[in-house]
Amino acid sequence: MALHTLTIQAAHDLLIKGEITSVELTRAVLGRIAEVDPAVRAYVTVCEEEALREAAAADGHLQSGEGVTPLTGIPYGVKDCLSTTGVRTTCSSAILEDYVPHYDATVIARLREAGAVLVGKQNMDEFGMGSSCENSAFFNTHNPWDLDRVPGGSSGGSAAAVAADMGLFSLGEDTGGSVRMPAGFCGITGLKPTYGRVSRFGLIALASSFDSIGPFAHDVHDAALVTQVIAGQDPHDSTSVAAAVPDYIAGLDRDLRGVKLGVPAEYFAEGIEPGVEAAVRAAIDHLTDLGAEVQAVSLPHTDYAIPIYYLILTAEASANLARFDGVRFGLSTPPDGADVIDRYLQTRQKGFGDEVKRRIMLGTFALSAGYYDAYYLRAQRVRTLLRQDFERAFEQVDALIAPVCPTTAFKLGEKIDDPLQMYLSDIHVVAANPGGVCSLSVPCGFAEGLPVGMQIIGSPLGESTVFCIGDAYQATTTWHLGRPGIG
Amino acid sequence: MAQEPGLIIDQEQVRHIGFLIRMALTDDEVEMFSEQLSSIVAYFDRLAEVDVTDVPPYRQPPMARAQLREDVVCPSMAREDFLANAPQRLGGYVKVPVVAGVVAPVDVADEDEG
Repeated sequence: MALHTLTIQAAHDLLIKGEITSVELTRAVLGRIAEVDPAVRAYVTVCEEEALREAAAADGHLQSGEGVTPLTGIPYGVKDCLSTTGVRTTCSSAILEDYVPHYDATVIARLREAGAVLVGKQNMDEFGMGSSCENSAFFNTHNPWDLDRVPGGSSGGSAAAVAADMGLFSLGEDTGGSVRMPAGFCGITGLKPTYGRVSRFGLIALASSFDSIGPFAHDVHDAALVTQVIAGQDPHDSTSVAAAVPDYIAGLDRDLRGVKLGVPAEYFAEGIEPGVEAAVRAAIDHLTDLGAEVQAVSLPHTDYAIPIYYLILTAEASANLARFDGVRFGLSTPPDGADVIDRYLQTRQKGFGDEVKRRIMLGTFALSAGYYDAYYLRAQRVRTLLRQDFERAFEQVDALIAPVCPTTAFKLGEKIDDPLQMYLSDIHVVAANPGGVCSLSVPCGFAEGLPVGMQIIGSPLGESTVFCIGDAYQATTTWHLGRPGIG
Repeated sequence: MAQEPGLIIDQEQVRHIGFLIRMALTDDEVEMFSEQLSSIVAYFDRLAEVDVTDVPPYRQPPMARAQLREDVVCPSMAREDFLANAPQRLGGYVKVPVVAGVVAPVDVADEDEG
């Protein structure tokens, strides 16, 4: 049996029956990484020794039956922006190439507590800035469905790892589509939870009012299992939400009769590839067959989501990235520069890649005297209108259905020299973050051999609803079972 | 109202922003960023079409607004752990470049300089 291809649920059944051990499962995943990662390049760091040690500890729990959770002994990887004690955390940036945190992000601590086994840290666009994973300072990650294509971004390594069976699940981080877009491009399931549902403590910040940590998995059930563990209030994150975390698994009743779904016309506008539109429309028909009531809705400010998102993101990022000064941690150059300004100037020039520089400049521009009102402040006002669009829609429906991206995965190198075109590839995913909603990406077909993703967008804290719809869809379709023919 | 469409972020402005953010830029970078930022900002100018009269700036909904925890003493990171990632250390401190004109004599052990 190819253990690395199991879902969390299937692996858990075998683990608790004693038919397999976590060490065997973890070795299978590490073996798979050794086999296919030289071609896919999803991992920046693989922590084999630590993983096998954690797996052995998990086997102890499984044997005694004490403290066993649905994630005990399950090997996984995380995007390299999440702090891990003793394991290098780089954000795929030269400025953090040798940075080793001395504490765990809350999500990592919770997974550790639940007995999950961390196998490594995954490649990303530097500091989460990008839509293709090509902005990593280290190397490109390749889409397992077609190695000449991008996996999407910014959590490209995390999506590619699950798609190629190099971990039963991953954690990514979604600031403006960075979980959903690569999930769509790689044909797997990914969740952007509501802002505040999951603690951001220990996440190296990109945009503090958007950042949302969420899972990648092979199906909705597995994504719900992981969300169950990582969600909930945290005293270390003052913006984490106090509301109790519902039992997501118990909520998966697969009955869509009476569920109201909205289809926003703005997400099917000009520019969407026919194969993508056909797959998403077929999925909507399928949901109708399952009993859902579908109606057209309008989100009139969708056209402004890209400027709203990029203006606020770059403003917040320019402040967050001011901490990289070559003094307390990270790259510092020249090593013996006498002048403090010179140290800053050179450290930041050498430590940051082009896209990071571009966004820090853009954010500084948007916040600067003379431009603040016209750009940053106006973006925050239009953001209010964008959120009201969602509020009005959710007065009528339980969830919205939309494509993840207007296209399937594009080729490596296709957009990297045109930053604006790269930004526009996020057109269907960015609104969820400034809009304050949650959104689940599930595979819903193929176009010319490449996966197509559908978003199920839920109201704030509506994770149970989107899981329920996604699970009902997957119970009666097979798109999520497809695997790329790699290795 | 927003700036009139076609706003150019010229090379002088790029150099000024580069100084504000303490990041050295090569001449090639200045030229490239001037072109790219100008075209990105031109796209963003579509926000000027939106009527925002009486629309307040976005505020996080109450559930996600900062909530302070009880002010209780709890352990913080050990000094050695905090210093472990510092590029330069001196006597249990982070060593920083001179920021003022006068260098005072320093009397600390230098066993962990590095």
